[in-house]
Amino acid sequence: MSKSSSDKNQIVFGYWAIRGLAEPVRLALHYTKTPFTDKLYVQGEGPEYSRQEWLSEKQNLGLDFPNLPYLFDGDFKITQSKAILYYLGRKFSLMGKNLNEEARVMMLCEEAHDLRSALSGVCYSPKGESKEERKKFVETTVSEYLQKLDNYFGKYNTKFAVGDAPTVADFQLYSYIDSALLLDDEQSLVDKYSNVKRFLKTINELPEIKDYIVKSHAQLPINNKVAKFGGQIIQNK
Amino acid sequence: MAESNADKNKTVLGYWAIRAIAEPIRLILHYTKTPFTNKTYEVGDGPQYSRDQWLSEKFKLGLDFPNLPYLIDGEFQMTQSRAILYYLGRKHNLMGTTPQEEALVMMLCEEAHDVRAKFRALCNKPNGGSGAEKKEFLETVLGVFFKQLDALLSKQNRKFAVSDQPTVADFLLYEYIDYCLSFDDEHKLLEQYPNVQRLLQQIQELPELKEYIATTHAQVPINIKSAKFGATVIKQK
Repeated sequence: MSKSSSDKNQIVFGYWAIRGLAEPVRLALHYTKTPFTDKLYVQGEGPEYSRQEWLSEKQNLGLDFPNLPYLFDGDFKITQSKAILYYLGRKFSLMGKNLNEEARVMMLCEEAHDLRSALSGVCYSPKGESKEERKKFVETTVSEYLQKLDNYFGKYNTKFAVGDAPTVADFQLYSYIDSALLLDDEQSLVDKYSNVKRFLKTINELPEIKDYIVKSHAQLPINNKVAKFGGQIIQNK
Repeated sequence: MAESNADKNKTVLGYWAIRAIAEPIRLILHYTKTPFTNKTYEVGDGPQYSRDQWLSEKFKLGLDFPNLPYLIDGEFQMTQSRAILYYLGRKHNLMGTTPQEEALVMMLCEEAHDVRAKFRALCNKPNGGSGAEKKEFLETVLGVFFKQLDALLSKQNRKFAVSDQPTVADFLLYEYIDYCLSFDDEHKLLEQYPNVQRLLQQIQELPELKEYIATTHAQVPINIKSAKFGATVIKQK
């Protein structure tokens, strides 16, 4: 099916030209082959790091709580990354098969979001410039999180995060773990957590999104330009 | 229907003996007249503020991601306050009646949570927030949120925030706004936002909740003992 302009205009997803908090939603849209406009706002260079590209539009988009990311679905407009993710999850049947699975999907998304918040806390502060602080973050926060997740995968033993079909939790977990692991200079931490490693590989190789993932990694930094770490593209091994 | 111990033991909500992020969940359980055990953990007195009462149980409850709050619902267990809120919301039909209403419910909960997080950051500062910082919060954070919320409520024009029936957003908004308003010594801020004021009154006067709210506000602090603001019950007008 060719993507007509009107198809792409039905869904508009707005965010900075980075992976940040948007990538899980982009993965869900690509996975479901949903035509959409990927509206990207570019932050200016230092030292000002101007947000003008966004600020000049912010109050004029008809958003109740103007913020990034935002989603337009026809006339319907919302903000808040998790509300958008769960809304699309519901729309595309990516929220698990029953109430309990759905609850687990959301619990995993919230846990992953906490990791991402901690990562942002490091990257956007002076700690982001310190190799020692980044190493400490990897060895404590990231490591503890991966241990819990590894135990979780060991316990439930399913192909995806919740059950044997993808849910939005897979995209959230993949994006945020992938981002956090960029702070691991030696790229060896994930080898200690075989279930997590296997999970990341499963998502990375999904035919619907593998090409998009490669492109995104090559073109979008994880953080905004103003960040002390991750504001530029980092080559992964 | 008399609440048997068996009924109460089926559903257990575990959290600190404070309102904070568990209270919206407690409001839902009371509103839906769900028998439950309100398991609370006490923090020790200063200067240690020992968390041993929780830590001694934390890894023995069968939780995948041990944390507070937790919900045990029969054989099912989960953590993460918003995941619990939306799970109970789905279970009890308190998430709106359409996908768009559900998305609005979640957007409101996420927005209110962001506002609350900024409030809490101030409460944890060494002086509990200076007069100037509190004023700035009221004007720039809470005031802006109220303005946006007031406009949304006016646009929605329903009995509650999202529809003519309560949703989990109403309970969370009520609790978190009440919490943030404890900074507003003059009780003037809300007068500028009549739709917000009306919503809070609607919730406070729900027959299912009136007495519970009056009791809990009189007896349970909003914040944890180690916080510099809100660690003891605040008398409200």
